[in-house]
Amino acid sequence: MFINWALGELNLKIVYYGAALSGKTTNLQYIHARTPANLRGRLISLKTQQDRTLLFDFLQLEMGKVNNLKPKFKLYTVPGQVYYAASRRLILQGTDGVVFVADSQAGRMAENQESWYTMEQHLIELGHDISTFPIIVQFNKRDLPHVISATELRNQLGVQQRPCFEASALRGNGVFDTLKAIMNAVVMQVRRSL
Amino acid sequence: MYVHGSFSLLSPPTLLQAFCQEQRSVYLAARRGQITAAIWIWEGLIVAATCDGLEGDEAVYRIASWDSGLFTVAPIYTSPTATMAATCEELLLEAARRRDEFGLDSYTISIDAMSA
Repeated sequence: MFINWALGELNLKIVYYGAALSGKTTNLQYIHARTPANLRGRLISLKTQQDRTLLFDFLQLEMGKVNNLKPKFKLYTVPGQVYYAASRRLILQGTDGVVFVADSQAGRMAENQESWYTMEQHLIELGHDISTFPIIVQFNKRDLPHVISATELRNQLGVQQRPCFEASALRGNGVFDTLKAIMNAVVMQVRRSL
Repeated sequence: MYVHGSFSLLSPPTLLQAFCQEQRSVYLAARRGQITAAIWIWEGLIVAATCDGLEGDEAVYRIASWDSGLFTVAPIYTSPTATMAATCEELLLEAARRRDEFGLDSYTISIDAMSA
């Protein structure tokens, strides 16, 4: 969270985290493409191996002000490959909420679990209490064949208590449901702390 | 009206992000050993940078990797000659990517070798 007094804005940071090729970038591209141009910033893209890291910011007018400050969300993806640790740490610094994008395909569970573990480790290192930190889980690629059931995914990732959304980011299904859930969770957390 | 400090207390990425997020116009001068560096931020955008013979983006990537050194920040009131125009985030993310792909050690060794 960054309070910009000069502009009267509350800058809130949401990070889309997950294994390489889980669909983080597709989520952000979909959101950017469907956000009115006057409310969003430029989509910044950084090429990394296999993935791209994306970020952009947008004003959220529907949520109203928080302590008289306009909430402005910055959305980021992290590069998913294991060796991009410094990049992930930099991106997670100062984050207010995380969307964990899990690949629902049967063969991707090990990558999902490893990614969840590294996310928790980074957040703990940054001083966050994992039990209260806003994390929304998205089960992506539900449109593909050979996907694991949502119940099985919840169990395998150990996220029975977390809000979870099924999605197909490529088609746009569930993308905005996930985004709204994390924005609400972040704003609620901020209101509790102010 | 200056800010002085040490990068061991406030890292270059944190310092740069603070001035850029507030859309300030400042001149940052830094020193690490014998190496000097400077970054000009105009209304929140990094518009010029130098570091030991490097200029522009490459200079920012180098400074971002410093874990020690001293800095001074002063306000500027007229637009400096821009040699680049990049958001802080773009530059810092690229610096982090390079650090991950090429390793910190090679950077550190070259910096130490130059400052020796």
